[in-house]
Amino acid sequence: MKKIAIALAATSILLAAAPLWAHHSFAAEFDPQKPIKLTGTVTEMEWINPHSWIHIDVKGPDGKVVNWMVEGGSPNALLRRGFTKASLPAGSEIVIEGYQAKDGSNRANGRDITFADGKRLFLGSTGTGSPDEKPEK
Amino acid sequence: MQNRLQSLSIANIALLALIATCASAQAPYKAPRTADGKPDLNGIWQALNTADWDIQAHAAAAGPVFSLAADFAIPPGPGIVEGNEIPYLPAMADKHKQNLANRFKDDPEVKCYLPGVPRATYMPYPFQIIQGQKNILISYEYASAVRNIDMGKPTPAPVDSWMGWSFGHWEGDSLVIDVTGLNDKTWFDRAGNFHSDALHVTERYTPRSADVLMYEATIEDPKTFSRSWKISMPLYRHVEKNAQLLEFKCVEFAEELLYGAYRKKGTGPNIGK
Amino acid sequence: MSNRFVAKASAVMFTVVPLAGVLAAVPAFAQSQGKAQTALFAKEAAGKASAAPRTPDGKPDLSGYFTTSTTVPFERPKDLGAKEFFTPEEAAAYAKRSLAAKAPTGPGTYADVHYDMAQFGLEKDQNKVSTGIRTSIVTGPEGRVPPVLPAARQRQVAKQAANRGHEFDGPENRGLAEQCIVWNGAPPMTAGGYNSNIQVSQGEGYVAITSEMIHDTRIIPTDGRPHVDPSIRLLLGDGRGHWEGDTLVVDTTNFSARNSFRGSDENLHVVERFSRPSADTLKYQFTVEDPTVWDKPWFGEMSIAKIDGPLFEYACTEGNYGMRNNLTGARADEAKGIKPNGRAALGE
Repeated sequence: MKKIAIALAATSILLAAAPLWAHHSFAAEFDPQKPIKLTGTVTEMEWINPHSWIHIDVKGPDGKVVNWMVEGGSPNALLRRGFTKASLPAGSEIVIEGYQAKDGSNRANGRDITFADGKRLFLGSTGTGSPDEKPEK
Repeated sequence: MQNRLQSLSIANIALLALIATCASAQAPYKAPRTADGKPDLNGIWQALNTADWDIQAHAAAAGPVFSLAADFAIPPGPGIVEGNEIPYLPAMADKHKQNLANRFKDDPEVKCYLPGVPRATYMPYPFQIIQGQKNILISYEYASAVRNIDMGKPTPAPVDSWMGWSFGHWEGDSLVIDVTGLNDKTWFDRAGNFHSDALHVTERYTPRSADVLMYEATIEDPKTFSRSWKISMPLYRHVEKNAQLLEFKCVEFAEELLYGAYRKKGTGPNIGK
Repeated sequence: MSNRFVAKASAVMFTVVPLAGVLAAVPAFAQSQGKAQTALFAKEAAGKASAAPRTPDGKPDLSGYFTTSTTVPFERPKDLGAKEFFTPEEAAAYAKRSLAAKAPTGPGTYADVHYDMAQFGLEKDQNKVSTGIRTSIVTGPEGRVPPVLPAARQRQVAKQAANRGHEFDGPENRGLAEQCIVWNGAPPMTAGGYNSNIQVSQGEGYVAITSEMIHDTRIIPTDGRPHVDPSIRLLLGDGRGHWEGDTLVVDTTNFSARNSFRGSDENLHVVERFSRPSADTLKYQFTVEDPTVWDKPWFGEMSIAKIDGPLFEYACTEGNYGMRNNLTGARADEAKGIKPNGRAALGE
């Protein structure tokens, strides 16, 4: 009886769980057909809402340095965990995998952001117990 | 003998009365207390000046919109800056001139951006103080700006914000608020007076009478000014029955200005609908 | 990483408040239509007063920081039928699965074009949540928002039809949250996708509730004054509170039709009840009615969990690069003869 009840509960979750990003569709801003990988140096991180933005200098194949703007999440949950505006200093080397802006400008959606050594920028994915995850305050 | 004593007593009484009068004339107003013994600043307050136009002394002038003529001309004001001088560093004077020349485009208030501190205090809209024990909330009608004044031990601001990071304590009957963590994106007024992210504001709210607070703010910003300077003004209580803040949610009033250039051709704005 | 539950059995134990005045507070409409809910309030009211902490002026202390994030879904999953309560074991299992559920994604899909929520600590299971043994926040045998009246449904359909194909024409087509006008500050309180945090402040004669998202504050006087003039419509509505024993009852009217809640119109009327069964929890109940939209009022109940403060500033329009980028992206699509991503309008 209990097993059936729990199985029912499991079904209910799949029906009930829905993406909660209803406020903003990134597929309108960024192109799913234009994945991009950027390696560069942080010039500034804007710890702002509704989304944070990381500005990085990227050296192109022609040797020219171009400044890109990469969209991240609201920083408020990071601030609650003790991160500060000093947590991503200018000069940090980071790697970004994401999608490029539809309008062709130097903007990208930062789906995965890591340091040059592969370590995740802020928090690990849920459940991985990533070593760079700080405790929530 | 008795007459002389009587007259001496009368003189003494008169003298004591005179001393008492002088003392009460000089004694500062003591505000009623909240249940936890603190000066009661609860209420809806508003500045009654034209500091938002220009915190320095200024004469009346024509406004920016020709067709609005006298409706939207610039009112005069004696200023709220003590000594009327804003001590910009020599390198910063040009930036002020540039701001002033472009103010009806570059003033963040035009875009309904949050006003920062101390400008929020003298915006021409009421604000409300809700005085708890561990926190005092200041809620501003303008753009739903809000500040939480933490009455505990100060900590450093983790990031910069528009409305700052505030800690309060009492000095006698004055609420003293220490504000750090202000970003560099707000202006002090519509006349282009500005600051850097090194801005540090110390506010004092002192009850002057039952319905008047005296507000002072000391401005320190070594990246912009050669010394600290101070503004001061009265804040008046809204005493009308059932006074309350309403909504001045101006974001949508600025929407066409911010995004009109990117809309689909042939479509039009839909403000307030 | 450990999930942060507030797994309180007290989420379903009722705060007992003095009986006096409880029935009077329930809207007259609800007294005839919501007999079961009224009986519930009365049952709660019988008994001794709670040991809630007090403010210096003797009122129950509801102040502090809280999250409205909960593992209890707003509406009851259809397959649960009339089941209003889980057993504690079922509730724990449901909560665990609900927190673990993530939208499927893969390279090149729409869902993949998104920053990693977990990296920014924005996933539900990375933050404090309240739990409960209810199968839905909406109470009653259905546990779902009642069907909308035919005339109201027609209005909604017409509105949706008018926007179809125009989702990216201008900022006004994007919805109030994306425009940075208002998020979830209006009553009744429900969690958003993240940062579902509130601060309750109390001063003499007032209770204020500040929502983190776009820093909205509801200021609720408790002095018995009337609502503002009906000509004034407010995105957060106009709230009036009074105390019934240890419960704060807030009556909100004067809503703007633009900030629709689950289909509500301008005649929305919300009554909320706040109490504090423990230092770590607020108990939150609400009644929703709008006679031009639903034929009867409906009710909700949930626990709200205490969090460490403070709220962090969520200034929205000041940093809303996304609005501009959405519109320029749509213009770029149109220039290529591609229809701007219609899926976005459904809230992807």
